[in-house]
Amino acid sequence: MSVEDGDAKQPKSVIMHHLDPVLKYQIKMGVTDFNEDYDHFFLMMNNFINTVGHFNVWLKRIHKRNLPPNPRTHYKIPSELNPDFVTKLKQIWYGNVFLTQTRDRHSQILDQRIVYSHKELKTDEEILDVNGRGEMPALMHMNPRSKTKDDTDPRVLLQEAIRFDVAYDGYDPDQLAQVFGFIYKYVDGEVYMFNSDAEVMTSDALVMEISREVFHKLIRILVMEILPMYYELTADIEECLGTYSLVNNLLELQSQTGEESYVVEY
Amino acid sequence: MAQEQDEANETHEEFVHQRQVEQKPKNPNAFINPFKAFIYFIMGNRGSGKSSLDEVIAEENFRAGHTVLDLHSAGNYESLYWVINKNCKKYWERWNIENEKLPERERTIEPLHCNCDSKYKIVLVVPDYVEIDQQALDEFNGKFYSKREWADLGHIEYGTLITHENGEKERKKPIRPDYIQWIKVRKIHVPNKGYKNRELFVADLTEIMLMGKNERRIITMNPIFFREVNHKLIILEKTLREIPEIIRSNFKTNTPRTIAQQRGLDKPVPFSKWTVQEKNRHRVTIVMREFGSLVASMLTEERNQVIVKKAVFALVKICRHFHVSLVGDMQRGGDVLKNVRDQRDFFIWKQSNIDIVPEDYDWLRKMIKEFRDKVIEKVGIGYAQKMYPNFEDLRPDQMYVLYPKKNEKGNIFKLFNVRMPEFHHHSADDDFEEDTGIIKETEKNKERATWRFIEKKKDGELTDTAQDVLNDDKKVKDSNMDRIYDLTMSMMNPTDKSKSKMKQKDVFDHVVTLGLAPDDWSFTGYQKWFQRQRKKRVTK
Repeated sequence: MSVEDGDAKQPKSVIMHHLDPVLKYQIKMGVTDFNEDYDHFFLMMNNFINTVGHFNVWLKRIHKRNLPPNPRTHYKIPSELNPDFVTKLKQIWYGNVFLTQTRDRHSQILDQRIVYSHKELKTDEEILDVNGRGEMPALMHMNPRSKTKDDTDPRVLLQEAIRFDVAYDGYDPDQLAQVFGFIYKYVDGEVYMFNSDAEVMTSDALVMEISREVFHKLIRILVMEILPMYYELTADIEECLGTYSLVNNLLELQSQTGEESYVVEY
Repeated sequence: MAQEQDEANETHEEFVHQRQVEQKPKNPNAFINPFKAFIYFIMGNRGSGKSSLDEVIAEENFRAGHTVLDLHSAGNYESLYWVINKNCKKYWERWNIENEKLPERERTIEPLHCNCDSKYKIVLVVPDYVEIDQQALDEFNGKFYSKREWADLGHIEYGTLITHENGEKERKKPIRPDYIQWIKVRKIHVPNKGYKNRELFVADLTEIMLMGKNERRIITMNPIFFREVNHKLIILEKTLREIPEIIRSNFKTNTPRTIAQQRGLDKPVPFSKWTVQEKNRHRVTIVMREFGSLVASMLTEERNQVIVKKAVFALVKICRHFHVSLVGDMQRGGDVLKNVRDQRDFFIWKQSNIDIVPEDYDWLRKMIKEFRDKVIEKVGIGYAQKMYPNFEDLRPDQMYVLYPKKNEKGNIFKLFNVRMPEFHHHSADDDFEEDTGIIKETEKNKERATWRFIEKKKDGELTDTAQDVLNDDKKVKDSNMDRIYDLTMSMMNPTDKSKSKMKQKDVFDHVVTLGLAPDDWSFTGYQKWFQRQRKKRVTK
């Protein structure tokens, strides 16, 4: 092996791209499962979103064959995965969902939830502008560029900017200066960037580094929203593949061994 | 004119090739092919539906134009059920409707049953010493109107009253003009010792076979009509041996010209215009139920069974050349002479316990298991068991067909569901005598009986078989008497001087022990007979 080859980081092994869709998606889902089991959430979701995309294209094509339903469960392969879930899943992953909050008169949060359009807003609900465009950041952009585990850094570097007041929600100017280092440094001394809570609350700044606490709060909300859809869609994919495999095998077997006349045609 | 002649010749010549094309089935998995001669052996447990499958194969061939001979079965009239229709199909259709009306819990699973809705004309072949009352046959054939039917037609008096010369009066029943002779009876000579009546036997058999062919009748025999098992075996043997020559000389393959003759046309009829029956008119199907017992590899049930075994062995080797299809069933594959079994085209497996499957077919059991395991991987055990059940798990309406070689679809064997014959299939509860009124005479039923064994014909003459028996008895007796004389002479006057002379009383006892002496002989009778014989022979 030449030095160039070594530098090119050639893989030591390659997973074959199976032409059999069942095997292909079994491998894809296996990778997703692995990442789920070993807590690689972003790898898992990234893999799953791609799988859903491929799977939907395959479903569209398979639908033209009009395969019969599963003789055991009576499940019929649909022309696409649950479109509501897929749309919401993509909105969360790629961005364009909103965090609404219901607060009491003391501004204490009573409830908060993810909505997918402004039309869903209820009367008491308000949208929290998280990314400066009135939306939650895309989940795919929440994948930290910095370490999140066993790290003493109180900040997490994201891939999308977050409003400052949201990113450091709950910290007073003193903490912002001492813990996070929001200080102007001069030759003759240091000055806090923020001197009052009001300054923090009214800041227009957008930051890519956010407090670890807020990061986990935001991630938690998005994960709680996305996981049930992930579970449902995974089950749908399993059922589609199981049905496809069984029905295809049955059709093939029936073509070989179907009810046939034992008397020659004449 | 010349052009027309050329066309006619072309039509006549081309049919040979067209017939070859027709023999190749469009559905290669099908195994009942009336356009070719095949040997079918069916194996299975008792009650697994072997004989109904025999009948289905023969029925399909018969419909396609074959002449069918149902030559061997149990002696319970089983082979005569071609002529019985009990309308089982209609009954089960009604049953199904009623069953479906019931609440789901009370519904019953439809059992496997006879599905008859038609029947076939038969020629019943019986030895010459069987007499069947014509009246019973007429009644069964529906020759006469019943009183009610006659009255329904507007007649007041039933039949015609006839006064015979002797003053006796007889009422002639009114005859139905369109009645069908469902059963025709033909007598056959029982081959005698040395087969000296061969010409008669062949003439009988030829007439019977031509009747079957021309009148589209199933030719059938049944052991119940034979007074001695030996007669059944010898007739069967001679039939099997004579059939090829009878077919060769009387069952000629049709040609465009012969078809034209049969239809009364001038121009040859092209092969494509023939009916299926015309295409197969020269073909014959022989059904032998309980075939296994006839060609048993080990123990034989009857002393003379070996002659049938040899005849079958001779026939299976050549039957294809004479357009003869053979259908036989057996309970244990191993029981049948391997040389005969290996001549098969199709081996059909009905439900069979492991112990009856011959060892040389164990590969098939293993292959089925392998196939099933593959299907289990793909679609689970439930469907796999349906697709490839074990021999012992086959349902009564299922069968595995083992092909002579891999067919065009690459199958060496295949599972089929099989129908029941369209005539009534004999079951253990059926009583042919009740069904038909054709009742065998026994000591207790002389008044009701409609058929019997006879020694003399109506004109008082002995039947040919009775005459042959008498002649044979006489010959045996003469030969025995010669042996007694020679024994007496040699024992009383031994040529070897070292041996002592025996007393005549001791010689008599010895002759009696050997079973040579006539039953009515006493020692004195024997002495007198010996004196007379000595005088006669010494004088000569």
